[in-house]
Amino acid sequence: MKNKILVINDSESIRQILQYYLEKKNYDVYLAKDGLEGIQKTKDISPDLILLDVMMPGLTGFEVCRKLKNDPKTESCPIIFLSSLTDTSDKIQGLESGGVDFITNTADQAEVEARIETHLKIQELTRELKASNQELMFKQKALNADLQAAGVIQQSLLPNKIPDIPNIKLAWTCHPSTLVGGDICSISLIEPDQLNCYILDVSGHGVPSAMVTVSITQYLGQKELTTASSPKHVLTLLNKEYPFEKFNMFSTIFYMTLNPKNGKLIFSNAGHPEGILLHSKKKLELLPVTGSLIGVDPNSVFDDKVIQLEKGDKVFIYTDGVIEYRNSKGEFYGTDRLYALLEKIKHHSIHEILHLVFESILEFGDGRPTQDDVSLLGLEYFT
Amino acid sequence: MEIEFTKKDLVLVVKPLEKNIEAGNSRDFKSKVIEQIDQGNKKIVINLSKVEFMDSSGLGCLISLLKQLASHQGAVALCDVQDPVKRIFSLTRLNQVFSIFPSEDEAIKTFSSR
Repeated sequence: MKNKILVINDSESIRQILQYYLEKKNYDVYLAKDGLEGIQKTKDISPDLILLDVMMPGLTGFEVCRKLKNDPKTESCPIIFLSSLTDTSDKIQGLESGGVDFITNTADQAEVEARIETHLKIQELTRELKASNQELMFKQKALNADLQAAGVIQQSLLPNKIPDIPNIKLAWTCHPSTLVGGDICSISLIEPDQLNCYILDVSGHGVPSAMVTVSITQYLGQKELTTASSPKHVLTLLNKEYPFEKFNMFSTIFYMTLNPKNGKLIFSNAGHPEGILLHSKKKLELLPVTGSLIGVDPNSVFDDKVIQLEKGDKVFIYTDGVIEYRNSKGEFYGTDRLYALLEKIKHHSIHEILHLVFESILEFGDGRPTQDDVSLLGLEYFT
Repeated sequence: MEIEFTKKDLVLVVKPLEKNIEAGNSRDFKSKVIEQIDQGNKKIVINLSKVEFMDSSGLGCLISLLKQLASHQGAVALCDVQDPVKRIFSLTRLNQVFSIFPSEDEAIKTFSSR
């Protein structure tokens, strides 16, 4: 398609000469004899470029240029001033009014052509850039929408209803660092005498980790695993099913089963931050690691540990996003701070404890967003 | 990520010069070391003297290098591990998975005699 050039000039001879040159160079040429006609034609034909005279009866070229640049319909059209004025101040005024160039020697055909070519090229590149920017924005929007949808799907895997057990209170919270995360909490009452809870952290975060959490959640939801009375049995199977090579990821998991009727709790901890047992009358106790990371070695051995909960005991487990949270000075939230806080607030309800811990993390970081997913799960035992 | 590579006999010593190996730089670290593996370096000692913190992405990157080298008849060892990182290794029991030496010289000596 031919490029359209509009010549706005009060001199008929200059209009004719330019028309002759430019048509020979295969441009579509339109002519206007003054500013008002020029503005109207710009709106009507949307030229690709305008050659604008400065000194004209009525509106001056500078005024015409400003008007065109102030109208969203015409602002993008490049304007080259073509004038016999040679003062630097005129050139500056022309460029300030929105022109892209100022040619003083209208007789030099070659120069006029070269500059027209240059500005048409710039115009074309600008248009392409805008178009690809727009396309990118659309794609980004679509990606964000997908991610949001993925986030909703992942949320649906989290406990939606906390089982109602007379002598147990449960609470959990999962805060992914982006729309989707690599952490999962699970709470399920299998039988009146078997409550399973776990907190899982797949290495890394974002979409790849999130997809693995979905897969692992499904795996752990199978009946032969949920009914297993020994957490180490579950972790041994999980470790064989999800070797590191499968997704280039490992996981840590704290898995526990509790008999709500007698307070007997069995846990197995695969490389996960130590769980915390809060006693009402004694100092807190750590629930240590009992096996290596999931996926690193297919022959890993996992152990179970049994503890007898007493009235008022609380169990608190969390993912490393808590202790690895850093403030703007680069300091870690750390276990010392967490343990001290828990000791201080241990007489609150488990629900409040989770809330206070999360608040304390954010307060420590002045509200700085979490760098990793942060998940907390807690239970409180009454007799 | 800035890394110092030094070849000592048949062993390539890899020394990350950053304080943290984590989500933001672990991918870069991994790909730079893999480049070295692809060039034929199968015995690698990672000197962690400068590293004070590793998150799960950082650990994942080390495990990935370990697996990759093992499948190419190579081996990796760690040395000069600082206390905070040592704690992470013992907590995750990765100290049972990796060969860890107190000094670079000892790590190289063990490799050279193999």
